[in-house]
Amino acid sequence: MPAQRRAPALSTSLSRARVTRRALARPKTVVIVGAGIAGFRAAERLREREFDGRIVIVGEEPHKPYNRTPLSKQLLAGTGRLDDLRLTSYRRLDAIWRLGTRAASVDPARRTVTLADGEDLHYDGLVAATGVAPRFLAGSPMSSRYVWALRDLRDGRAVGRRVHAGARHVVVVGSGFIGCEVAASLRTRGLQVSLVGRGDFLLGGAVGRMVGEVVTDLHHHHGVQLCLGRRPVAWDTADVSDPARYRDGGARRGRAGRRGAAPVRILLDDGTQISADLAVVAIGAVPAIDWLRGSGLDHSDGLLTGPTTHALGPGGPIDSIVAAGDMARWPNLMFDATPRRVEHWITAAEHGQAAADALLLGPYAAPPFMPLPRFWTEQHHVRIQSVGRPALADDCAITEGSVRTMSFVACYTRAGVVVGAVSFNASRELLDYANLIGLSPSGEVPAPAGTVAIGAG
Amino acid sequence: MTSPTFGEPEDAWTGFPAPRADFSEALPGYALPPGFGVRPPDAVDHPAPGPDPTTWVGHPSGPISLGSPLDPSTGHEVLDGIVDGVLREVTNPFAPGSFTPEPLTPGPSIPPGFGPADPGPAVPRAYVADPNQLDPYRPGGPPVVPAQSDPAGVVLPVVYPGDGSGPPIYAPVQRAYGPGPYTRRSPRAPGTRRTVSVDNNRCHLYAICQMEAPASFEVGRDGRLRYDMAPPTDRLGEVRQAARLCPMQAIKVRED
Repeated sequence: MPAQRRAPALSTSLSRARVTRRALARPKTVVIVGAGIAGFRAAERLREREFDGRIVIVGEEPHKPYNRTPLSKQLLAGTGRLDDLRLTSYRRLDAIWRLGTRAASVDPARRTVTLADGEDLHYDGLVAATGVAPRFLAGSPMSSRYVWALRDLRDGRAVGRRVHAGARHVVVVGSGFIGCEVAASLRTRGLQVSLVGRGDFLLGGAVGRMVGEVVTDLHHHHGVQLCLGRRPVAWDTADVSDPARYRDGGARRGRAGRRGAAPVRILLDDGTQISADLAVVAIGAVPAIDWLRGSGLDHSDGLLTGPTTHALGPGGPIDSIVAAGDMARWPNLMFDATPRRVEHWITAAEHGQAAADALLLGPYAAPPFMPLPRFWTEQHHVRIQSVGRPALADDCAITEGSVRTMSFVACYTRAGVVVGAVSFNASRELLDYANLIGLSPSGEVPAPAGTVAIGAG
Repeated sequence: MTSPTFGEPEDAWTGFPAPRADFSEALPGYALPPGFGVRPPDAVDHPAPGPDPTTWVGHPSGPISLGSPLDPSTGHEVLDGIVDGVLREVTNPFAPGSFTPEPLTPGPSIPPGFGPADPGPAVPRAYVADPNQLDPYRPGGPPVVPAQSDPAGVVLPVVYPGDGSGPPIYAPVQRAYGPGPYTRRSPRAPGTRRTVSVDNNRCHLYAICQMEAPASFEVGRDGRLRYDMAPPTDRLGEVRQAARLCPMQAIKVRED
């Protein structure tokens, strides 16, 4: 195994830049738009760097930042408590909170964020970390109380209430991470679960066909009814489509409406009809960039930033605006120079920290943000983990372990260079692959394109 | 997907690399039992199992068939794979009517202070590995347990009371991947304050902490997490980062 290659610690870069004191003292007010994990870690990092100005945090939910990841896992499976959502910071944030409201617009020239309730917030530094919102499935009656998209605590509680109220059959639309986790959690709880997915296998976009089929088999063998390669074409819900059928306003919570029909019925494009007590729509997410409209910033598929997380304006990086988390599109120079979004919780936390550093250092002294993307998920008691970007790969092979024992590592390569690895119940073995990224599978540094090895051929 | 450039030859059945251990080469003449190794092209899936009255768990809602297929030649359960999975009890030796305890005969009296301490009444247990955990890809698939009769759908270790009179005692659900972390003190001056703790009930051994702070956390080959309870001050930063990024938020770092 080669020696561990790591980017220098940010503190090293800070001291190297020799502008620490001056840069840290510059902004007086930092506005953080978005109270998710990225915004929370950004605020914590600002205080860690002895930033003594004002921090204003704008959050759409009425809660202070909490950990959303157990919502689809432990909380839905019934093995977690609300206490699991607690996030701790190692510094007093001493922030001014604007919760239950959202940013409506931003004016980079005047350095002002306008909130939905009309308040103008002047900033010296802006951290954009609004994250993503669930993607809307066309035709789905999202106003029904039997159809939910799982994103925040409110959704999680609503789904949990339905399950508590006696739902026995749940249909999950979407075969991504959230869909698979919801299906596995509810199945663990003993409910009948049907999963409707567009692709031929689960988690296809994240882990590719080979590993995706393993996940598909895993769900199939644990009794999740899979309807893959299909999509819903018509919905029927007891309260939205036919209010007369449910005139008692939901007083009779339970399996069926008055006429014995299921609360949710979904017609698939192959003619299959699924009747369920609850539907969870999890078909991905789109960046929450409504408030950036009209600001002049490039917000197509997330706010475009440079490698240092500074937003890019017409004349180069804007030193007063940084973006972090799921809504930022930035080039991870560990892989290539193409700006992409990453929707991982760990990366969002690191992104928030890097954005806070970058805000204090400025676009010319800040180091590029080059994290190793990592995700984890647990489905049917199988721990699935990843390092790197398996989605970039063009080849994949199982290098350790065996699918039969459900303990293996799959290595993903692009043009002979390792770009990622996925492990099933093998987190310890995965550690070595984190160091392999950027190398060839045998551990050698690949020759740059266009060079010819002497003696070859 | 092209053929793997590294790794092992593909299994014709699963399309994935075949398991490394192939006993047929090491032991010529040894025939692999059905379900092992490469699936023969003419293999026939076992029929769906019916309830077996002799093997059941004492679930409150009634007996549950293990659902494991029976080998038609021997009549025994087909257990594929290695015995390394989650264990669960399948027989109740103390079911009412099936067992008459022998009357206790007084043995030679041991003077106080001698001999081993009284271990208490032994609780007999019979374990059979859960085939569902061992190999979910065996022919026929795992047993399909109706949702209503087994609401949790999870493997519950069951302990019966010694006299067989009362209902079974349900032990907490065991995790499928080994015991949790235990602590190790680094060689430091005695009296050093303990600042780091890992919640054993939360830790799922994702080893993110080892990526962030390899000097302070280590997931061993035995599937346990060893960690430094009192890391030196210059490592507290990376230990805090490990606590921040822990997927289960299981690490607590006490601040002074």
